[in-house]
Formats: sequence, structure tokens, C-alpha cells
Amino acid sequence: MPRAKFQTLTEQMFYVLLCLRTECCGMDILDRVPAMTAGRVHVGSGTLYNLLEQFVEEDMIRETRVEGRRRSYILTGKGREMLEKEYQRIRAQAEDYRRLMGEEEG
Amino acid sequence: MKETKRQLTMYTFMDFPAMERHLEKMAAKGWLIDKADSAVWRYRRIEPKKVHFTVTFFHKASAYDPGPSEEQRTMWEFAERSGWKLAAQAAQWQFFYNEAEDPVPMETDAAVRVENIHRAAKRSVIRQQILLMVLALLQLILQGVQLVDDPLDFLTGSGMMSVVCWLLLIFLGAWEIGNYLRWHRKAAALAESEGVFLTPALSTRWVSMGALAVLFVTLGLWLASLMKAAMLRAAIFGILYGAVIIVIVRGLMKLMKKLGVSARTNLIVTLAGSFVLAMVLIGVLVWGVMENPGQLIYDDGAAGTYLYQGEEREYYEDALPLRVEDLTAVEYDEYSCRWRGNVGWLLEQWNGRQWPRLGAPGYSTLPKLDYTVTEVKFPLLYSACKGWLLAEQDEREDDRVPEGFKNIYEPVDAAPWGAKEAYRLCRQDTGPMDWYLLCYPGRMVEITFYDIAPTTAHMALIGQKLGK
Repeated sequence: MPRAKFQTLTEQMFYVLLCLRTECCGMDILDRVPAMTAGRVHVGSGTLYNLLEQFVEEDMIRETRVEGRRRSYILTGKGREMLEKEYQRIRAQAEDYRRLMGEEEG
Repeated sequence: MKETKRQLTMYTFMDFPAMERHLEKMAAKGWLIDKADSAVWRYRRIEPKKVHFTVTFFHKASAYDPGPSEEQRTMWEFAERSGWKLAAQAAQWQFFYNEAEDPVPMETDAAVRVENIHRAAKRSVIRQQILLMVLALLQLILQGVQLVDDPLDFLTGSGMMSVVCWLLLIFLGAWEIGNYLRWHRKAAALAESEGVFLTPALSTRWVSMGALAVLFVTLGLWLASLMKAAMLRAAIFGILYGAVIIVIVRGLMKLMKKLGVSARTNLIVTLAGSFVLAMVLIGVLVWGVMENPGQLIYDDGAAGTYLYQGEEREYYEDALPLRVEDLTAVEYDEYSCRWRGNVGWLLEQWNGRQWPRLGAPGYSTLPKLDYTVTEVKFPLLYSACKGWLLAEQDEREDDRVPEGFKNIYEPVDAAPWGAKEAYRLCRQDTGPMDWYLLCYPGRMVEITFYDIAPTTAHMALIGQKLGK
């Protein structure tokens, strides 16, 4: 299921991967996602834990450092590709919106 | 004032929404769960307050883990950062609560949540239920073999009860797995297409509760039938021994957890321990039934004992529906009279036996009586039952007995016995014996006379006493 699921990313997956463009640990992600979305998106702690596990399994992120229970991760090439693909998909959606709504308003 | 409270809880794997609601209600009443490693949950007293509960799974955990793994502790730290405190944890189950008014849920992505539940289900409920169903199926096959091998013994014993119990277990397992897979298919599709989590239906636990209730009623009926057949003590002994095994195995498992033994070793030792103790139980029961020390296993209702060639023998003084004295005059008054039965749901069999004590003067010529009354409670079984009773003695199909020496049931006139049908056992070489099978409405009587030649008057009396 994760393979098929990660064909497109949910909002939560998108922001978790976006956080991991630079090395950071799970705890940081919990704070960074609300901060980078002005509080619009929060990632649940259970969701984050499971997502990190599934992303590692799918080779979309890799573990970089383990300090006690604090584990840090960073995007892999594959993860970066998926994130880019999702960005392009969202952009295409936004373009379609702008074009169609613009046409109607214009 | 009590500081802790225990509650019997019966939830299935899919009941986590119901659990969350229940735990929130308990907290509002001032009870916070703090232990959930058995069906009896423990709560500790708190100030009554409104809290949010989330029940989640840590799929890598098992009941045999010596303690939470580093990974699981990491997850708890994540949860605590969002205000979710761990109230209790058992195997894969984790019970978190949050005192904030509107907390960020622990699960915010439906697809990830469904995937996590699925991973947990594959390692727990699906695996366990399949194992149970395979065991139940093996038991059903064994029962089937016994039914074919000796249908009378099976139907007058507890065979039907165990068939119902094993079928119920299979039904429960299939229902739980089917219910889960149905939910998973829908939930995965909904999470994928709309990003929405499909909360499992609430009412499902009543199905398993209902099936458990049927299971208890079945056991109750079984105990009642054993009580009628004076085997209640054996059943209670078996049940108590089973309970002791569970306590020992659980204690062993907990001890190994405390000692930090790995989950794998713990599982292997626990399984091996259960197997050995179960084998010991069977051995003890078999020995107990054979020896019956101090009537510990069953009360065979002996009236007393006497000595015969230096060995202690039991004699009985049960009331018999038909006695030797009803048929013939005898001078001997130390007969042992035994009346014992096996009560099944569909058939009931009672054996009456009047025998002189061993070593009694004129033992070999004293009249003796042995009869078995088979009551057919389920009318459709009547003709099959007659066939089984005939086949028990009739050797015409038995290739091991040479032709010319076989015992054969021959039809005889049933009218003197007041029966519908009557058969007399005849040996091909020596002729008829005083051994009869009499068929009355709803019951059959197999009777053997020793040193009594039954007259027409005897036959009528037997019809009156045993045929009704």
C-alpha cells in the first residue's frame, strides 16, 4: 500500500518531506510544520512517527544521526524527486485554477 | 476510599473508538486507566476531568516484550510533545490521553493511520485468529473421526458440546477477520480518495459478546448434563486445572518479561510451557479417571467396599428400574446394583447392572442382569441409533470373525415385549443367546440375562418397566 499511496503525497506527507530538505529530527518536525504553515497544518505525533518509518522503508528519507532516542533524517534523491513531483502537481492545479478563474473573471 | 478500580472489559480489535469513548467517560467520573494487560482493566482515582483519549497501535510491540523498545519510547516522546500522555500500554495497544481542550489529534493522516492499523492487525488479530481457527478446525476433524468411529459414545458424551464450542470459535475468528478486512478495504479506499478516516462501526462488539454468551450457555448445559451423569467433579477438576495452567503460564511469561528475557525466547518458552502443562493435565486426568484417588475426579457413588482375594472391591446400592428379584426368586441379598448414565444433547444412555459380589457362594449360577436404555431425544436419530446398536453386536459384516461363529441379531416377535421391534442375538454355531435389543417409541433397550430364562410374563414386565 505505501508504494501506491506515495504516488501522490498528502498534505502531511508533503510538509514532513519539505522539513527534511535539511537534516532534522522528529521532534523538530512537530514544531516546524505549524511554523512553516502559519499554524494551518499540524502533524499528529502518531502520524509523524509512522510516516518517518514508512518513508525510511520506501527509501525516501534516510537516518543521518542517532543520539540516544533522538534520530535525525534527511531527504534522499528519491524523496526529493517525489517532493518535486508533488510540487509540480500542485503547481499544475494552481495554474489550472488561475487560468480558468481568470478567464471567467476577465 | 478505594484508590484503584478494576473492570472486566471485552473489546475486539476494531473497538478502539468505543474504548476511547469509554475511557473518556471513566475519566469524567474520576477514573484514569493505568493497566490494560488483561481483560480486566485497572483504573486509578483522579480528579474527575474532561480529557481526550486516543487508542493507537505500535505494531512492532508484542505481549512478550520485556519492556518498551527504544523506538516505542521515541513515539511516546513525540506524543508527549503534543500533550498526549501515555496512560497504559499492553502489547500493541497504547492508551494516550490529553487534557487540552482542543488538542492536535495523534493521527492526522487517514492513509497513514489505516496503514499502521493494518500492520498491527497482521501481526496480532489476524495471526491469532487464524491460529485459533486452524486449531478449532483440527479439533472438529478429530470430533468428526470420533463420530464416525463410535457415534453412540460421541452423541451420549460431551462431543456435541465441544463441536458447538469449536464452531463458535471458528465463527468468532471468521467474523473478526472478515469484519476487519471489510473495514480495511473501505477505509483504505476512502483514505486514498478523500483523505478521510473511516471510523469502525460501534455495534460490532455485541456480536462477539453474543457468541460468548452462547458459549457460556453451552458450557452451562454441559455441566448440567454432567451433573446428571455424576461426572461434575471431573469437569470442575478439568476447568480448575485449566485455570491453574493459565495462571502458571501467565506468571511465567510475566516473570520472563521482568527478567528482561527477549520476546522471542519468552514466546517459545511460554508456548512450550503451555504444551507441557496441557500434556500433564491430560495425563493427570487419564490417571485420575483410572485410579480416582479418594473420588477426587468423580464420585462413582459406591455404597461401600469388600475384600476379594485381598483386593478392595466396590459395591453399589443404586435404585434400578428393573431388578433380578422382579423376574425370579433369589435367596442372595448382597447384590451390587449400579445405575450409571451418559447424557448427551441428542442421546442419553443409562446402564443398569445387578451382579453378585465376587466370591459370593454360587456366584456362577446366581441370576444376573445387565441392560442399557438408550433414549433418543432427537427423533430423526432413531433409525440411525437402532442401526448403531445392532452393529455393536452384530458381526455379519465383521471379516475378523470366521463365518459360522458370528453373532447375528435376528428379528423376533416384538409383541410379548410390548415393543415395536425386537431382535435376539444368535451365535451361528451355538444358537440364540439371552441377549435382546428391544425398540420402543423414543428409546431402545438392550438387555442380557444371565441364568434367567425370560418368560412371556417377564417380557411384558420388562416392556412396562424399561420401555416407557
